[in-house]
Amino acid sequence: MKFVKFQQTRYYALHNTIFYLPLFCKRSGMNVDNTESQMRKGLLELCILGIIQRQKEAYPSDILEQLKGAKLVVLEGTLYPLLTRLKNAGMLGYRWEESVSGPPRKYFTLTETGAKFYEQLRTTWDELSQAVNNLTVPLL
Amino acid sequence: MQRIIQINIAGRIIPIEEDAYIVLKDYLNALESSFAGEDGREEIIQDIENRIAELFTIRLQTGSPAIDRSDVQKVIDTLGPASELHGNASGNTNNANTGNSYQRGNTYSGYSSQQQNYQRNQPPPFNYTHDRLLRNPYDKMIGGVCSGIAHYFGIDPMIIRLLAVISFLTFGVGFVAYIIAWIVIPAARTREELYNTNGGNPVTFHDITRNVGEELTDLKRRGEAMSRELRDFFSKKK
Repeated sequence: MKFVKFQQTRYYALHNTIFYLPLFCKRSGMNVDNTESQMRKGLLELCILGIIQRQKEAYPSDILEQLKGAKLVVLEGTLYPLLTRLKNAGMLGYRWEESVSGPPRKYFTLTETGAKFYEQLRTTWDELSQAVNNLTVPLL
Repeated sequence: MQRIIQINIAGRIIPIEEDAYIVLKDYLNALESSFAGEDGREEIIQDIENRIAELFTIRLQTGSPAIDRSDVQKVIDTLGPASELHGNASGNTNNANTGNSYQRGNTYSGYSSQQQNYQRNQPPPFNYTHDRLLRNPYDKMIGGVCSGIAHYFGIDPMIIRLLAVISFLTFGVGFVAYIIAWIVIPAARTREELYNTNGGNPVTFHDITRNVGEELTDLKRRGEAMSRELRDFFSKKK
C-alpha cells in the first residue's frame, strides 16, 4: 500500500512540473521581450549621460524625445527615477528655468564625477559592442 | 454631466473633470506607494507631476476646455503603470510579473483590470485571486482592520466587527490583538491595491513607524469630529 501511494505522489509531482514548465521559463525571464528590455534598461544610463554630455544641458522632456526616437524608452515614467538616482549619486547637477509654455524645467548638466563616469561607461560600451559583434558574427 | 474642478499640479492650475481627477489621484497614490522606501521619492513624484502638468498644458493648448478621463488615461499610458516604473538602474531581474498595478482607469473593478494586465504579460499561473491582507481605509470604524480582514475573506465586515467587539468585551485580549494588527497590517493606499494579488511593497520598520504616526493623527481628527457630532446631538436635545 505504502509503495503505491509513493508512486502516486511522484506521478503527480512530475505531472505538475511538466504542466507548469512553460510558466517557469517565462517567470525566469526567458522570453525575447524580457531580454530585450533588460538590454535596453542596462544601456539607459549611458544614453542619458551621453545625451546630456553632447548637449551640455538637457531637460527631461527633451531627453525623452531622443530616447523615444531611439526606441530606448517606451514608458516615459522610467526616466524620472533614473535621473533622480544619477543626481543623488552626484553624477548630475541641475538648475531650474522658467518656461513660457509650461511648468518650469529642470535643466540637467554633467558634474565632474558624471563626466568621468560617462567616459568609463563609454569605453566599456565600445569594447563590449566590439566584442559582441566579434562573437556573434557568422564564421566564414 | 461632469463637474469640472481645478487642480494645482506642479504650480499649474489645470481644469479637470471630476472622474478624471479621481483616476489621476489614484495613479499618483499608486506611484507614491510603488516608490515607497526610495531615497528621492518626493523628487521623482514631483518630476512626474511636472511632466503630467506639461502634457496637460499641451492638451489644453489644443483647445480642450478641460482635461477629461481619456486624457488622463492617455497620460498614464505614456508614463506607464506605477509598478513598472520602479525598475532599478542596476537592471534587476524582477520581471513583469507584477504588472498588475494600475492600468485602466476604473477605480473599482480590480478584478477585470487584473485580467487585462495578465493578457499583456502572461496567464496567471493559478487562477488565484488571493488578496493581500491590508487595512481598508475606505470603510473603517477605528483602523480599518476588521473591514480589511472581511475583505480578505470576502465576507461582510459587520460580522468581523461583531466578533471583534465580543472579543474586546470577554477577554480583553482582542483589544491588544486589534492594536497590534492595526500597527502591523499596512493600509491600502488605493482601492486597486485592495484587489491586487501581489502588489505592494514589503513592509519595513520605517513604514510601520510612519504608519503609526499617520494613523494617530487621523484618529485624533476623527475623534474630534465625533465629539463635535455628539455635542451637536445633545445640544439639539436640550
